[in-house]
Amino acid sequence: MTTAAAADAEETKVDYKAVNDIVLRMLEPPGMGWFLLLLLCVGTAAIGGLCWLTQVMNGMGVAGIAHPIMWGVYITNFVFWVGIAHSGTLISAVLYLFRAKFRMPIYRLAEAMTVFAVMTAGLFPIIHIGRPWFAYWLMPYPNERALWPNFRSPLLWDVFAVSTYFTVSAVFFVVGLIPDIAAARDRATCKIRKFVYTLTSLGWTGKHRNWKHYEAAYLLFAAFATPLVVSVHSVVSWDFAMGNVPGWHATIFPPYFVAGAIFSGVAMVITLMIPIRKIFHLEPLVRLEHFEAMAKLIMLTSGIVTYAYVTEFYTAWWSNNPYERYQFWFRPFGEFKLAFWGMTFCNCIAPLSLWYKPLRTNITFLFILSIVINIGMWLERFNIIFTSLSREFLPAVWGGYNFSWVEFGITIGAFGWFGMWMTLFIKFFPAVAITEIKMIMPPPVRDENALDHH
Amino acid sequence: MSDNGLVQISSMKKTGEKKAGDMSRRTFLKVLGAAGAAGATACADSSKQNIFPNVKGDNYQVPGVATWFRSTCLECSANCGITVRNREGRAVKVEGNRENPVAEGGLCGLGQASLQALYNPDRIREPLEKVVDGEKATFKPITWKAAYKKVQAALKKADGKFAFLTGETTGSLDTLVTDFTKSLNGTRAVYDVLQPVAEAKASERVYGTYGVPYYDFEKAEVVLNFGADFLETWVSPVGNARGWAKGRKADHLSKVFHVEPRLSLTGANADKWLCNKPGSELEIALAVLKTLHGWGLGKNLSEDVNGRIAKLVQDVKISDVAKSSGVSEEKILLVSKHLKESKHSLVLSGGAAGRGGDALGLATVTALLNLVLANVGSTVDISRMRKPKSLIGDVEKVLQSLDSGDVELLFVHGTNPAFTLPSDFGFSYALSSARTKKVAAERGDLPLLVSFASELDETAEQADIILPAHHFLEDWGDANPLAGINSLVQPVMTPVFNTRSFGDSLLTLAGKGVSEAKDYKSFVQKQWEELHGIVGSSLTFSKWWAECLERGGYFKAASKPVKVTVSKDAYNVKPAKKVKMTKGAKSEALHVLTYPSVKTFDGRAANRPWLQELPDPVTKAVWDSWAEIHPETAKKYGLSQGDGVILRNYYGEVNVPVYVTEHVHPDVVAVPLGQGHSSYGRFAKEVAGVGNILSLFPKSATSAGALALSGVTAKPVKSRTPSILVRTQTENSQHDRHLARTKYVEAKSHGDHGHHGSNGHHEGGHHEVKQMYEQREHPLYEWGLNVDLAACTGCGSCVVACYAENNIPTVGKEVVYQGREMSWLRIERYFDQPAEELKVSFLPMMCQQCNNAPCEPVCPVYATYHNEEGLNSMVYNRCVGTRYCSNNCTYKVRRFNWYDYEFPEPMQLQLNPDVTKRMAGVMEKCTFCIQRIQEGKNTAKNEGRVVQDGDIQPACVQSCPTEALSFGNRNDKKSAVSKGEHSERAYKVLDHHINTQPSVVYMEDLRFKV
Repeated sequence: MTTAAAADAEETKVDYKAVNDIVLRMLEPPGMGWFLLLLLCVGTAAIGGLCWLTQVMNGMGVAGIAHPIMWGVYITNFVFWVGIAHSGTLISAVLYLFRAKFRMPIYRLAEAMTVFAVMTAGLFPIIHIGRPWFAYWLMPYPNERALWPNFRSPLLWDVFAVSTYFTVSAVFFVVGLIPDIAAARDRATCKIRKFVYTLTSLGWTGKHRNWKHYEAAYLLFAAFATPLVVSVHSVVSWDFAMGNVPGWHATIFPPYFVAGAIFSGVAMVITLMIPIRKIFHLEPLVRLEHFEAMAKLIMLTSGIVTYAYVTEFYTAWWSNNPYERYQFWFRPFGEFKLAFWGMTFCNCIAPLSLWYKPLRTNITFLFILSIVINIGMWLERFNIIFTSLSREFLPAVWGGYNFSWVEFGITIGAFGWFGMWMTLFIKFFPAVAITEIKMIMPPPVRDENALDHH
Repeated sequence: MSDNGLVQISSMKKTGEKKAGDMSRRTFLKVLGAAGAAGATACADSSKQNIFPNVKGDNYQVPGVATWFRSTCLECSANCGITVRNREGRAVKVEGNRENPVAEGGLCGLGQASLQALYNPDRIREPLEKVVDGEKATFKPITWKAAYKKVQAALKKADGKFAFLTGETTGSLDTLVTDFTKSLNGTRAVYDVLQPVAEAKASERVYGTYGVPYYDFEKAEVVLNFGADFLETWVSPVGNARGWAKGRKADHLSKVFHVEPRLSLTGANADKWLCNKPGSELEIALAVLKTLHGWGLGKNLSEDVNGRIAKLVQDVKISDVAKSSGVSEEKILLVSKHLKESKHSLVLSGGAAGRGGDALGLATVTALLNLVLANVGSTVDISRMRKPKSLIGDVEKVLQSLDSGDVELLFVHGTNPAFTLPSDFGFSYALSSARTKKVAAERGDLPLLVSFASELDETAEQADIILPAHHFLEDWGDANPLAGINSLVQPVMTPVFNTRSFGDSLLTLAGKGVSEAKDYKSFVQKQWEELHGIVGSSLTFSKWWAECLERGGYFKAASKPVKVTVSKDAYNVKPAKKVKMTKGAKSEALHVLTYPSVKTFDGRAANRPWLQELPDPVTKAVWDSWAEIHPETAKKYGLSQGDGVILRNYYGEVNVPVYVTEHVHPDVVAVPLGQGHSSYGRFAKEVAGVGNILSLFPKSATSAGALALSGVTAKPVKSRTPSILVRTQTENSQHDRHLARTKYVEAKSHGDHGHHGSNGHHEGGHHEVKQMYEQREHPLYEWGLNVDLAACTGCGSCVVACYAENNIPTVGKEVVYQGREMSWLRIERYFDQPAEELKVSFLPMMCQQCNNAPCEPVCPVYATYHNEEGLNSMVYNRCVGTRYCSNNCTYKVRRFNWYDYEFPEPMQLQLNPDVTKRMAGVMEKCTFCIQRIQEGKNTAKNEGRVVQDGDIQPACVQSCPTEALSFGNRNDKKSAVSKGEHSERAYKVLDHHINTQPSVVYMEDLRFKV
């Protein structure tokens, strides 16, 4: 316990009880607003579902995607959501190992975001393939035909990377939840709720033994999840870097993608955290300094991403490869230059404002900027996928495509799907880590009330 | 032969006739059984006949084994030989007949698409009678008996007031129609807009014989061409192309100078395209004649001739010609110099540009040029002439008689004057006038127009009775396009619908009056008995006949030297005159040039989806008509790409999308002929909105007895609605990527083949790159394809062949616009300007079957893999549709099934049973026709040997008119592909950059440096 943190806690006058009160208040029966939000999310997700149904029934043709751009909005969405999923594990696992304390109040939300974003991302490869009912062929399962998937294919690596990532982050997420669920259980009045929490808290009693095992398990999973932060997006980047398409075939892709993913993930955490903090009055727990720390992370990753962009241009020029050179001339000056300049503005120029402290500590500004970054990162993936594929080796087959309403519906539906899980989550489980916040607070003086709280 | 098991197609007829499309598996098996049961019942119906010898295999159907029949293509008057593949009683593929000398085994897209006329869903399925109910006229089915009865009644009443209008016919059919007409004291007229009548007449003037001579392109070292689209539709395009390609491949590179105001496919393949001012062709021809004559050529001709030529050209001033034609004096002299220096040359005129108001004059000067250059007897063979009978004067006479009531009964077969004759000629008007007169004469219940069309075209729509004729693949017949070529037409399958042979119908209608023959087949045989007598074969007739059927006809190289007699008319060449635009000609108007193309010909091809979807070789447009306009002109009229333009003159208007191109003279607007059908089936009507370009042509637009195809003027007005021209390729430049490479050959007289310069880097020709991984081994076969760009004309015949062979669906304009055409083989067309000169390159691009295929490692489910014969195989059943392979394919030759595509009934009968029909969601591509490879291997195995060079021909290779493609085993060092691979022109596309190691080897195009 550092003195600074203690001073912080002192200042805001939050004690253990207040933490429990503030956090568990979030689980109280929802108001009309929550139901409307849920309806909105479910409705949007349903629209996406109907669009997909149309696509399955009529063929991929109802999507706008076309030769020569065989991957379009769907894969852009996939990479976007995998990217979003990134920062959760970064914040929860990597920063945990680094003992970065600013992670404490935000990590639960980031982790939930991770799990739900992977669940969203995982839909896209299935939505995208021509015969989704055979998607299981990508799994190595023993079968009478002795057919195995092709282990040389980056898509197969993707399957493993994303499914591993999902499994580990989900387990990590659930383990971290246990003590908090127990706290919720102890307060629950509704019988069903109590029953569910009793089950999910896995018999947590708050004893020393529980804590010992919990800490060990948490550390283990944190250590286990950390390399995945690097691996999953590296593997995703190989989907492109392993291809020979000009604009894809670059060794810088893995670090570039990882940095980009953190960049977009942190932005998404800010986007989600600001309204939640406001609605549930979490200001005493999630303080400005936490946002500032995240803003600094954005400054760093924005710098890395910008550097990667510049490197791509430099490599294209240096390689003297006419196809690569043309591609990187085409991005800023060609038919789809709006996407490029939009991306550059959102990812490289706009984040520069954070170097100015008053802006970096302005919640409204941060909220707007985080959305700008999210758009920018979507555009980045779009640029990589769409623009690269539109100008390959043979000029005779250069082309583009127009989005269809089906693609639009599914893209929107993905946000609905993600939002639906988030909305449900904040009402059913503690969205801020009670235990971890308490770790950085001065322990309460022992008095007769102390035992009431964990 | 006839006694060892006939194919009794009559027993199959029932199924085919009833509802061909509803062929269930059960019916299908029944048909098989029936087909096997040889010699079932004798039939009284004359249309039920036995099919005789097959080219290959036994005379009975073995399920799963194809039978091949030789026949003749009657799509256009070139009459190329064909070989038709029949599987389980259905014709599934039409290929060229190697033994027929007209095209020597090549076949154009139209010939191959004859299957889509045969199986066209909009074919007339039974005899129809028009029933008028108040305002509405509809066609009602009628029995054959009743239909014949009605027509016979009309024939009886007509009593000489009868006319017969046909397309260009030769052989027995021509005899029959003529005899039929004669027996009724009627008049006969022939109409086919594509016939080169001016050239035939010029031959009469200059050589003394009416007809289009046989041109030997192989021999010609220099070709000067005034607009004749000899690689596209002109006279005998496949045969011409074959000869031209042989000339290109020969040790002297034949040089082609093409004079035309627009860049046609023929112009694109020329060494030098001279873009002239429209209508100045005659002046240029005269200037060349003057130059050559001035240099003393033609001195061996008689004094009289020489004197007259001198007189003819005395007023020609080359500098004036250069000024008015836009072709510089320098170029005229250059062309003349090359003509003079060559041993054998050839001068041609024709096509759209050669058919302005001065077509006859131009053709005459052209013939004189050939005479002066001593080409007659060497490259111009006047002993083998095609004699077009299509004279517009005859047609006009029939129309006048109709109008005046002198014709009360009109038979139409094989021609569609309501579409191909400009409306100013008043075909429909004459019909209605005749109809009114008939009603007045109280004979209105009798039919006026009897059509034998097999598809409801614009003319058939106006008919009173339609007696639908068999398609030529269902019928007997013969063709005699030029002396020495007698080719046979035989039914290759049972008729799809309740149609009758045209010949049979005529014989039935005529009773015994015309011929003793009981049916058309015996009529044809009777004609051939005569030929048998002339030939003096030692075989009996039936044996000789069977032999001829197997071969596809009787061919003899006739070369009787014919004496040239120049008539005085030959020197009566008037200077270029404009087509008289009697009304509404405006000075602001543009010169309209309408050209037949390989996609539509004169409009007859508009109902074939393969051809509609085939990208136009030069513009790459599909499913549309368009107006080619020069950028300057477009600017002047405020037009740009994406606009629609209304071309309007007094006579009519069309509304077509604008195609802005530098490759057209600024004074010209060029529109392809043949689109804008208001009838003629669903596929033709897809493009109905543009209107028929011929509606702009006045009655006066004729020259030498044929319709002029250029010379009229029209004013372009921007259309209010935008109109997008769908093109499969929008980027025109190669961006210096050296994809389609050209080797320039220095201008030197023949024999010398100075290898200088190449616009392509030679990197990647025969490079040996150190490989990181162990290389693939191909123990027995390594299949390879060579593409000789020097021979490829870009015509797209291979593309059509690929559609036909591999069950590739056509998808329509909308879907092509989205970039989702399904073609496995495309021809990339690039316009580059390495020097001053425009270079048009054609690069056929199919799966390269890379040995380091980028598509293979990225497929997560092994749906595509490398097989031990060097093929990049594709397992459709395993494909889940990630489409990664397509993204990673350097050549972008993989196609994805975005939808399940339907083949409208009965087009599904054309599907090749050896190739699966792919479902939505899977990727597909070329595998060098793996089904054919398998068949070839099986045959070889049965015979206990390995596959020999030439055993296997993928569909594209087979169809190529110029033999630009060759296929074989690269492991066999003696195979054609192995030899070609070591040519110094050989290179692989993009291999030097990506190390894909393709199995397709290209050979640089050869261009003569001007």
